Amino acid sequence: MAAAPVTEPLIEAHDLTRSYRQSPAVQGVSFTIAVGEVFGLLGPDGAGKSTLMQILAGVLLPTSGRAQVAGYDVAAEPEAVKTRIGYMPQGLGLNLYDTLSVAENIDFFGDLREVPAEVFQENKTELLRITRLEPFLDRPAGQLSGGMRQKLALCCTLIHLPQIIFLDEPTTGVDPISRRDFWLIINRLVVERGATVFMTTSYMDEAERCHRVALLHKGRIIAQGPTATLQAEAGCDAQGRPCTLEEVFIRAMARESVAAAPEPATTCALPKPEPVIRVENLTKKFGAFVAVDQVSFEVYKGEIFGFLGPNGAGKTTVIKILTGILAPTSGRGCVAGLQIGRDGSHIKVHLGYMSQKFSLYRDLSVAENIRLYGRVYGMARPDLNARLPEILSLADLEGQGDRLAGDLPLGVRQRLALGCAILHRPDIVFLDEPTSGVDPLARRKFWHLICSLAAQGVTIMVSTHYMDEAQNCQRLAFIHHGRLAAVGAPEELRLQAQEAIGQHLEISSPEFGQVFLTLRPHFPQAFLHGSRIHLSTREPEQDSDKVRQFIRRAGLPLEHLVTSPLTMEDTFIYFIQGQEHAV
Amino acid sequence: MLFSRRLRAVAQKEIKEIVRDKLYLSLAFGVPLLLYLLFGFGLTLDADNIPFAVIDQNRSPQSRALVDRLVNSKYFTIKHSLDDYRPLQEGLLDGHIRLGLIIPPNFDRALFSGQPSEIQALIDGAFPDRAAAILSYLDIITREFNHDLALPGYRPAGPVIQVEGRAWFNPDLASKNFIVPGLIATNLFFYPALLASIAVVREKESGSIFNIYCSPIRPWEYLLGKLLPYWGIGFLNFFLLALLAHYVYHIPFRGSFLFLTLATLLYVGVTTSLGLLMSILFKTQVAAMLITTVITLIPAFIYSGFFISVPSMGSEAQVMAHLLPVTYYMEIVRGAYLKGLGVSQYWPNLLILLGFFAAFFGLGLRRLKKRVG
Repeated sequence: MAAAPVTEPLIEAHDLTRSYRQSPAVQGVSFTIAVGEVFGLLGPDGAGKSTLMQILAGVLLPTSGRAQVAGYDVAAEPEAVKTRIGYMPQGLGLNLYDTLSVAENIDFFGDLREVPAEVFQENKTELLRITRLEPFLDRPAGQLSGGMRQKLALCCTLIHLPQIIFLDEPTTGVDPISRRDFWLIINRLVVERGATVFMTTSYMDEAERCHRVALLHKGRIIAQGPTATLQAEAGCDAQGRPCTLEEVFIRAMARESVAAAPEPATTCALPKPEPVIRVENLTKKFGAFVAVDQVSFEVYKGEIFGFLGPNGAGKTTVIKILTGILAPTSGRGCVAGLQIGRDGSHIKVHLGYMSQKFSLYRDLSVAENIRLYGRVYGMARPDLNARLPEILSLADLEGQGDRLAGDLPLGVRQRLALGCAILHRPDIVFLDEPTSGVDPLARRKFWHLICSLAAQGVTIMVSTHYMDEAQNCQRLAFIHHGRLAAVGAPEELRLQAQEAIGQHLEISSPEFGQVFLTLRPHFPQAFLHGSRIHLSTREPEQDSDKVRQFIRRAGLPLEHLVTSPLTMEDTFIYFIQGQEHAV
Repeated sequence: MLFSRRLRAVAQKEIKEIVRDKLYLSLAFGVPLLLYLLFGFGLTLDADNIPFAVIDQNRSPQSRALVDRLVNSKYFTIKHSLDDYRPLQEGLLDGHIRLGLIIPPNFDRALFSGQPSEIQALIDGAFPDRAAAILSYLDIITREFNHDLALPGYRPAGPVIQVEGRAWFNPDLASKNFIVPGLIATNLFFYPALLASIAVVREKESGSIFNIYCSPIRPWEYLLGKLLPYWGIGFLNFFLLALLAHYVYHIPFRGSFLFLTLATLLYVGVTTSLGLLMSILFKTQVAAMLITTVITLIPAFIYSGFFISVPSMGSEAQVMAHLLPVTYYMEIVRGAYLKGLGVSQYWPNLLILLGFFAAFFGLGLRRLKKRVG
């Protein structure tokens, strides 16, 4: 299969449509994936990514259209397709068996695929080595961290070393270090074994690591092409850097729906240093598990304070303690001048809280939801009546108060949820992952809303696992394994990290795989970022010259070589690694 | 190798998961035992030691002799000897007596004068079967009393012919000999089905079913691999129940244990595959377990012939009875225990059970698509 001519597409989707009870989840989607490509399907929750992947994996019949994988029609010969692919379904290690150990899980998948004994041993050893799971062979899968579960799921999916790898949102909610490891593994398989990867993601920055992407919105592809080309076509930003995929996505969406693309939210004027939240040595234990470990920080009035960390880092637990839903095991804290854990019900009057996922009642109408919140917070009827139209306009739902909340698009629903959280005019609003899975346009609108609230003097504390959203906050706290790794303004933190580990050299070449293999022995820190190679360096001038030399000597073409600043993800990784060394 | 590597992998994985889930494992064996003991001890249809009170207004040797007969039988236990109606009424109301016997002042006079003598029996009729039992015991005792009196001037008014009945197969007419084997049939109908009803749907809920959908495993390999561990648990449960029947309930066993074992193996296969079918049909564990319980537990007791023999049911109920595998196995297990009957009598039942197995497993196979939705 590796010898197949590159011109022949390995995966071909032609005009695929899939409807669930009349409403289409996927509509007229066509694309091709060539051998050795990393192809990303990028889109928000509900865009139809999983549906498409399931069709191509032969586990879901399309309503119309056809698709081929490795020359087999997915509807007619699904079993032939299944023997040729490795498929990792959505959800972090949800396909693992929690009571089975790491080794037993891998063995089960080997048996299921009937991998011959010697090949199995070889693959198992290799996969365990590159995922660094060897020390945990006997640990039950249920007791692994999120990142380790994802790696084990990857081991299980790849145990027969398939040439075609399907990954459905493989890194959602995974910590950045595990995510980086994940990409090292994927790139190795692609570069060294010529594997083809078809993956879905809702992270815009992650999709930049794919060679080619298709942007999926409401079941349709709104743009597709080589990642670098799409970014170049969309132009450059004010600093002359190529557009992010988020920008590409938003412009493509704006083309589809006449609406003008909003500018990125800009952070407003810095607030006065008047602390409204102060936390000292906050600790929360659940049995032996320390969810929050000695956390201290301050949040000022009118500030947008970001809480950045992967799933399971302790973000939600901190917010629950601050809102009085959970009592801390130890430590002290003040919210709006009131002691947490003591003045519980008084605190709540000053707070708005929007919980992770959906906090509205889907079978109530928009207006009914708003009224319900008002009553729960004890608002007087005239006040509530006056506030209702304000909230409706805030959520862009003027005149639509009778619609069922469950029928609203995710982005609109989240705005409505925010509206409900600020209905009683709280001083402080807690937003727990408010933009998870929301499309980038709605996300951008949501951030505009947050900024305008902050400008009115409302203090906002927001948690997120989107690294790129951190830019929108005035100050950030990095949280990992329940501990704070750093607190500060985003740019400040980024510069600190840059001072310590240097900048990136970004190398692009049509022969990026070969270039990568050539450079790696000399620069072990080099990694593939889509069709580009990233290399962190403290001496950009000197290393640039070296890179040029190595590439020339190998007789390989070089397209670009530029220095680029550290990303927020690099910054995050720098600080949490520092924290891990300290422990 | 009898089974393919994939099938064995599924079965081994399932066994590991079951064994490591301590709660599930203890429920797998604990619940049928508990039900067996609860029903076995509690659900006897015999009425023994019925508490009663007497108001003896006659206070003659004859009236005392009648009361003594009741007291000396194993069926009645005297609680009170009263003078007044009120406590008797209260006793019947709060249930600490089930029978109130009132002997009128002229009881002995009437006997001696050759007149029919009447006594009043107030019976707690809340549970009709028990009331009927009390009445018939009372009837037998008074009849014997009449017979033995042979008082001068008294002629027995009853029939001259006496039926000397002998109950075959269950000479003591002990209902436990009938109930306990019946419980083996009902327990092994509903419980293996319930245990297996989560087998597939649990994987649907967790998402691990995708491993099956996306792998080259054949549906029959997966289903059989899933079935075998639960089949095994059900079969082990049978031995547990049979041991208890012997050592705790002392139920005599007259047939061939080998035959019963093999028939049970088939029967448990039927009930396990019924549960597995439910597991394939439903999308949530709750739905699968609830429906399985409803379609197995209740019919197992009502229509299987457990209480009422099938031929004495109404015609609709008979149709229902013949649609249930438990009815056919009920005959086998009771025949083996009580009558010593075996394959020569019950081979049609075995064939029907085999048919059920093929139908349930086949239907499961048809409905298990290696696809989403």
